[in-house]
Amino acid sequence: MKARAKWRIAILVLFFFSLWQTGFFDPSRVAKIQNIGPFLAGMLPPDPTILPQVLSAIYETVVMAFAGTLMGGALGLILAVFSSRLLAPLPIMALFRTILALIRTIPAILWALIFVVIAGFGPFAGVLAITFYTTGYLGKLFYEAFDSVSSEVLEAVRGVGASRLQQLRFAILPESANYILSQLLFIFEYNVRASTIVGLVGAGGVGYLILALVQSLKYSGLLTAILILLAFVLAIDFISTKIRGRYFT
Amino acid sequence: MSSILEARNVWFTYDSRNYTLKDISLSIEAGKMYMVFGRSGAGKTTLLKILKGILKPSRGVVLFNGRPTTSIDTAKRAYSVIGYIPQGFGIVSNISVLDNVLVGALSRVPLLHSILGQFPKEERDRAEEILEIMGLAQFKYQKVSQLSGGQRQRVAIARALMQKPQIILADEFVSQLDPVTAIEVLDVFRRLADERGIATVITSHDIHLASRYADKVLVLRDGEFKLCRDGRSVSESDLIAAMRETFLESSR
Ligand SMILES: Nc1ncnc2c1ncn2[C@@H]1O[C@H](COP(=O)(O)OP(=O)(O)OP(=O)(O)O)[C@@H](O)[C@H]1O
Ligand SMILES: [Mg+2]
Repeated sequence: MKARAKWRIAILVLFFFSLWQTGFFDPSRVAKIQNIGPFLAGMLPPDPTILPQVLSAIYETVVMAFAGTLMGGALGLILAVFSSRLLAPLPIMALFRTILALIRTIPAILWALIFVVIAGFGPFAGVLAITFYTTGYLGKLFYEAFDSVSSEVLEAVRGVGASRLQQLRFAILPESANYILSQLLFIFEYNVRASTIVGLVGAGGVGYLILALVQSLKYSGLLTAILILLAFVLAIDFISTKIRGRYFT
Repeated sequence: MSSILEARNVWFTYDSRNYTLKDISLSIEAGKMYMVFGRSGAGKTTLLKILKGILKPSRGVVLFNGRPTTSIDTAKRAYSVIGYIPQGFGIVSNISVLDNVLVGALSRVPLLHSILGQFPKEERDRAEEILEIMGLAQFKYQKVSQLSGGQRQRVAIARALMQKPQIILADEFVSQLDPVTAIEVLDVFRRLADERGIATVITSHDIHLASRYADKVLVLRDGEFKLCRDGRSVSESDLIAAMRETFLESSR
């Protein structure tokens, strides 16, 4: 009972400490919240003249997401094969799982920063960032799917004398195909959003446009971009959920 | 008649404390049909896995054509001519019936060709012929997930046949079927035994069909054979009696 009370006090103290550290008790900063009024006023009405620019940036975003999803999916599939308990010897499996885990520790936006530095601003860096992020994420999901293929199916296919590659081709891939496709679709949906975010560090797409609009204080254009983007993301989510529910359950 | 496959004084344990199989000896001869009965947990599946070579005996030996399968060569040869159909049939649901049957030929097809799905013409012809025999010809391009339980079972038999087997081991093969389909499937096995000399070992807990089909009826109880008789000389009450004592013993 006493120990619990100490914990509560400790957490409370930590909480207020974090607020203080982040400027919540600084009156001049808190007063800046008033800026929300002029900011919102500056956004209205949304600027329609920017529409063509927004649409072409969204188009670029979707293209980035698509390319990155497919490349990441392909790489993820290859790494998953070497990470599968059923297909790879233990040391190889451990090595590739570690590689995938390392890739996953780096978020998409950091990949984007890395590739913007290497390859310069623009969608090229964005696609590479999405690719890496997707590889780490799908690689893990794919090897888990491989390893959960029914042991009976595997025993039976092994039982005819099939080699490991043959087991992959005739049992493991077909048995996990639905899951793989469904995850690809899901991550594409996710990557459309991620492509927007990576744009904020300059890696192309609508995020890049949003960054430019913020920097040049064009808030009414910003609102147009946000509204269109919102509608677009919702539409893609909706369609993707429908497809997944219909074909891959 | 000499035996193709023989288990000699086989003991098996999963956990190195309790023996799941105790001193099992069984000789499998060409063209004969064996039915192994036993209650749940008696060790039927374990016995089939030992015969197939998926599990290695803890003590005792399995002989293939008189040679111990402890030699890798012999084990490999045995493995490739023993068809094994697990309890749930183990067919791949997302590929076509024809592809499932062709899987049975994988050990004979060069790796690259098989990966590209290019099976030699004689293998394709053979698969078509087997599908015809099993009454599956009209389903050959359908996905297995669209078939009924009985049809899936026939796909599993077809795949095993594609292996050019000398023995087919089938786990719980008739337990999940309606009586009419069960009889049809057993007829198929009887014909395979009589016409092609393929030995079949079927495990089951459904005793009604035993005497009509099996050359040899065995009852496994707590990992031991409690009865081993000519199929035609066994009555249902013999089987029930042999299977039953476990229950009495364990309820004491
Ligand atoms: N992989 C395993 N690890 C440990 N114990 C096991 C394993 N598989 C089976 N057993 C045990 O061995 C015994 C025999 O199991 P087995 O599957 O051979 O029985 P069975 O006769 O096939 O039963 P059923 O009719 O239910 O299929 C059981 O007590 C079971 O709990
Ligand atoms: Mg069993």
